[in-house]
Amino acid sequence: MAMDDAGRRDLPTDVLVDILLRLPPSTRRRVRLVCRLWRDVVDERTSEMQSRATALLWDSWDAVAYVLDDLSKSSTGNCRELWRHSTYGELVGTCNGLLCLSDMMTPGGTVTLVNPATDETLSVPQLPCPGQFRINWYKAYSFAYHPTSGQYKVVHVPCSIDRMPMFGTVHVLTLGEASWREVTTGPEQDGWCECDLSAGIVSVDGTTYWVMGPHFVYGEYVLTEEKGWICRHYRRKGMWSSNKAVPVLVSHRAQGMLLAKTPSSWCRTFPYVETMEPLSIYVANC
Amino acid sequence: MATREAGKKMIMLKSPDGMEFEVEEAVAMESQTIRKMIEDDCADTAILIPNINSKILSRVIEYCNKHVPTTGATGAAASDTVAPAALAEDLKIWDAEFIKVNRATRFDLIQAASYLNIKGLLDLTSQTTIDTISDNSLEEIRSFLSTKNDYLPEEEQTIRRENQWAFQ
Repeated sequence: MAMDDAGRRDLPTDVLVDILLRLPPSTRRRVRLVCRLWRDVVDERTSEMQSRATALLWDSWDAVAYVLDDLSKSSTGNCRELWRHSTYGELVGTCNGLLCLSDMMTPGGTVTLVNPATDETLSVPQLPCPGQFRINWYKAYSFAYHPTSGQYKVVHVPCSIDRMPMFGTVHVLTLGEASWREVTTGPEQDGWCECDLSAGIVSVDGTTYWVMGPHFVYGEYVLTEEKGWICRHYRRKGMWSSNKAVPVLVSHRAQGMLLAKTPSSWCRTFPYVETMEPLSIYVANC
Repeated sequence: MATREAGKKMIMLKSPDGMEFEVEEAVAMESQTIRKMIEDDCADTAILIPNINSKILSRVIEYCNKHVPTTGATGAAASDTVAPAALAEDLKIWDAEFIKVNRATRFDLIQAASYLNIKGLLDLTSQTTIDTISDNSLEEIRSFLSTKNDYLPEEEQTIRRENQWAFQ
């Protein structure tokens, strides 16, 4: 018997609004790409696009996150306490207002996600074989969001600050899944690579990169510091290339402006946006 | 059709294609829209439900019949030995069976649940759509909802950037 599925049905806009409001914020933002109608509904009927990104200061000494409420030119530099870690832990990174933390007590570090706006916490399954490294475990983790699939991933590079073995796989955990997966690294050097964690690792658009020299993400580029130059790395067809890196001129006359009076001298900076994103939907189905 | 029981007020629901459904008032009042009509005394003999055909309306009534609370009745029927947890489990299984319909029917049910304001039915019918949106790629979402990507490539790029700007 033929199903009468052929007739095209459009959801009435009110019903679409209702459905979109039930989605987690990051998904709501992602589906703006479905079509113009959806974008307009998200922009006009939900408060999604009104949330403004700001900066988060992480005080490594006391394990406290501060947030800047004013990024404008008239900022007084004041920041307010956002969240306080109850144990000794470090911030791995932030994505869409979610904080990824690694504790500093368990060898290898256990990873926890926190949404400071809702005070919700989610423990991530532990690495299968975490025991072989000594200090600063948090530096081997990266926390990433893939904008088209909407998945959050925690990536772990099997290195530590004091040991840099060659490796051919990294560990990847997709939020909502029960266990870590091993993912082979790129084709460079017959699949083997090494990583200097003092430079740190970074994930952009669902791919994890590690480079020599301090670096950070700037829009669609990765900036690295090499021999006193700041270099901008381009991405072409999904590949980053150091060959395409060009030195960026930084004006010495630029004085910058005061954004924040840091609460301690052990601060690291991260992007932050307040979100009501629930974490309970990522509890792994074991 | 439902047999008339003593003491139970019945109400007539009419679909635009001319079918009539006699239901208990309590069942009809699962719909907040109908409840309001009854409470405001706008309903005397029959209520016309616009935009919902008899096929969909009969399914909605089936849902309400199953979900109407059994408590409060003076008869002995409500006080059986079934534990509330078992009852809830039974309802869940029934719901899962109920929602095994094709996409067009499901969209019609969503629309009906939205118009009639039946929260449980709206939750149930939109959950599949919500799950699909949450778990799939944009292309899969489009094909599930038979929506076309009407963006120009430049526009799409702009939106990607907007999304990133706020979240990077």
